Amino acid sequence: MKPQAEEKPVIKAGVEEKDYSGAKYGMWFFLLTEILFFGGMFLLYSVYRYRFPGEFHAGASEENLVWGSINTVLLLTSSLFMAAAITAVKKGNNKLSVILQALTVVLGVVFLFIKGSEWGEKIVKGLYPSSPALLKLGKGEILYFGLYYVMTGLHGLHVFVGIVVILFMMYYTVTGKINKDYPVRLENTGLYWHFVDMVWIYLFPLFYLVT
Amino acid sequence: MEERNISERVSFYHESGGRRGILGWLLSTDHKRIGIQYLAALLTFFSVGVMMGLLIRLNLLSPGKFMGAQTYNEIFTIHGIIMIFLFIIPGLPVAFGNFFLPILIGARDVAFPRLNRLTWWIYLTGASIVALSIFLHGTPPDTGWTFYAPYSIRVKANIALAVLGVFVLGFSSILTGLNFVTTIHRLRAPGMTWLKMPLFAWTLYATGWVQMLATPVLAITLVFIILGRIFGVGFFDPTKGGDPALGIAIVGYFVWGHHMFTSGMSDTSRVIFSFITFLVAIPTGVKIFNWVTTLYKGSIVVDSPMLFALSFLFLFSIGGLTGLIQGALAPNLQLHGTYWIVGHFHYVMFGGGGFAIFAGLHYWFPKMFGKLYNERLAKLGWFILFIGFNTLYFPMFILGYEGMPRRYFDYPARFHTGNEISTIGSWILALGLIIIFGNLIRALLKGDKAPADPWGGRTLEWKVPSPPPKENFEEIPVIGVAE
Amino acid sequence: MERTEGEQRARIVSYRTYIMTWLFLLFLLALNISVSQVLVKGITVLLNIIIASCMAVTNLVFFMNLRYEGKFLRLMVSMAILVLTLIILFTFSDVLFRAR
Repeated sequence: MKPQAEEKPVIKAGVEEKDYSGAKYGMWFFLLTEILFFGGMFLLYSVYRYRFPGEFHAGASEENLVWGSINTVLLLTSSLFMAAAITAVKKGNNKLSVILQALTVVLGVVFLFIKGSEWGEKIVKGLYPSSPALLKLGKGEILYFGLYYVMTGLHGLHVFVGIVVILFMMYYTVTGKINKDYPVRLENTGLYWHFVDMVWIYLFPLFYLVT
Repeated sequence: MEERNISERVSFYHESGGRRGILGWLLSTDHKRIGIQYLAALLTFFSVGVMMGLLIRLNLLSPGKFMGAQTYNEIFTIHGIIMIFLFIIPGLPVAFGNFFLPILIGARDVAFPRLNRLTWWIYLTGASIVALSIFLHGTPPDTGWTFYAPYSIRVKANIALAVLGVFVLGFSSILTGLNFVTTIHRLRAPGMTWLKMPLFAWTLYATGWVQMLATPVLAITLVFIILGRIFGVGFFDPTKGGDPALGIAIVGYFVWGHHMFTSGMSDTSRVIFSFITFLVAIPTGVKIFNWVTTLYKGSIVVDSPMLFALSFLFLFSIGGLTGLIQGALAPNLQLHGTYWIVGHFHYVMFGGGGFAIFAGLHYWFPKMFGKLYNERLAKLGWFILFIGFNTLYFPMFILGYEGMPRRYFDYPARFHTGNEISTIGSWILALGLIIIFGNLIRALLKGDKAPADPWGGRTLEWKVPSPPPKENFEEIPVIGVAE
Repeated sequence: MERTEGEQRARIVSYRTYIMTWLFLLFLLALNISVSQVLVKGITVLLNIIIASCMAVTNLVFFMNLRYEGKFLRLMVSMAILVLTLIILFTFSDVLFRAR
């Protein structure tokens, strides 16, 4: 191993020194666990889809490609704003950063709203787990809708958590706790937000493009 | 550091960060305080688990005399849940890892002290949820600790709650792993290179990665079981097209694939998993040979920690070798789901994990509490525990080989002798535990004061006072070439 | 090569880079949708996943700046993906060959 001693944080008794790389490592490690967490779901999806290809196609015909695509564009754009917000802070422009973060939040909220109305539309049709209408359908379709609700639901939960975290970051950016000398909290939030975006990048073809 | 300097520093027990009583512990970010709290919790759960175990054996001495079948199912389930999820899995990392990792690598604390405190709270929450599932009205879980679907999806018991508890515990496990791995990467003292790092720190590093990579997959399966119970999402329910075997499979595929040879999985898969099971035996064998040859020509001082370590080697080897027998496909068909498995499992988990925890406890006790325990009593306790352990679990191999299924409430008369011996063993084992813990508690109350280094140890923890001061080192030590 | 922490902390990625990344992602998205609408069924699934993977990698490399992270982190990200792949392979070793 190469000597890295000079990069290591020197911690003096009673003084809390900030460890930039340590914080980054922590976030990346967390994202690795998230990859495997979502990985379990994708695994289940692929197995059941392999078993019931026809019924998965039939189930997916319920999805509205237009809304799904709009939602994907929304998330990709929010990722752009998030990334730009970090650049803004690093350039010392906290004001711009707050605006960009706010835009990210707005797009996230709109995403959740659209997702919610898609759910609502299906629920009105009686297609939700264990509903009488659903249980009348084939086994493959029961599984399809189960996966649909669980996967988009857990993803939505992650988006929601992301929004809450960004709101905190906006507060820190306003108060200056996040600044160009120590932007790591915002950078880590960005990593999380991009990751959630990445999960959607896979969810989109699996649920909207299989018809 | 000079000896004089050392004794002047206040131990972490006396620095509560200005908070009173229990809050000085619960709100503390000091890795040592957190470690001690984990240890207390672990040993409490262990005691409860032991009592459940004794009850199981008591029933099997004379089935139906002491409890009904449903009670029996609940008791062995709770025994499993407590011992696996609350004691063995968190065991070494959270208690000894928290206390010693930073000291061993020459750091003042872990990388994320506040996250560490949060992790401790999450552990407490998870444990409380599990406890709730037992005491809340309705039936306590009775599925066995493995929560195998589809039974766990359908049975009317507080499964969702118990599984939620395990999920929360898993979360705390992930965060512990993340924290330790980051700590080892970022906070090693100058000169503490990877290859100079003590073996225990390496162990924690590897465990940290396993916790990060395996627990999430377990967690998502638990989420599926919870959703299955609450919302009727039937991923593992055959009536809804789900595949229960898949549920078992995803739960840590590396580990549990070889539990399923008789579940109707494909032959290809069986051969692959049998092969992997044998592959696992290779590093395990290398480890055991390595430990044994380390002893060769060493000047061995047979203190109580050493006795625990040596018996760990012996018991773990038996556990490992019996594992090979059931890992082979043909014998597995005979041994699957019998008491053989129970014997194997306890030799690995208790004989391996449990004895290792006791060895660590006796080795580090003087450092953690600053008190010396009675060595003769410790040895006596070890001896009785060791005898009791083998009397309790060895007959299980024979019972299993003869075909007695595990988890059953009752058995035909021909299995009676084996069960009798086993139950008597459980009482001997309990006596051993009482002596061991009595001795340690006595030491806590009126043991002699421990010096900084009672063993002649070479690692960093023996260079700081017993018990260590709040941030371990006044100056971060520089590790040079061999002292 | 390991980059020093100071370098990493000070590195500012330009708005321009991010906008280009975004445009590229939108392009891939459009490609993905049109592939699913136009082409024959059998191959589209595979193509969809490949294009989605391209988007994910773009995201990792440019938005998440994995390219500026050290060797170690890149290795670990690949390890997580490898573990996931293995789990999927093992599962399919059962699913594909099971007697029905």
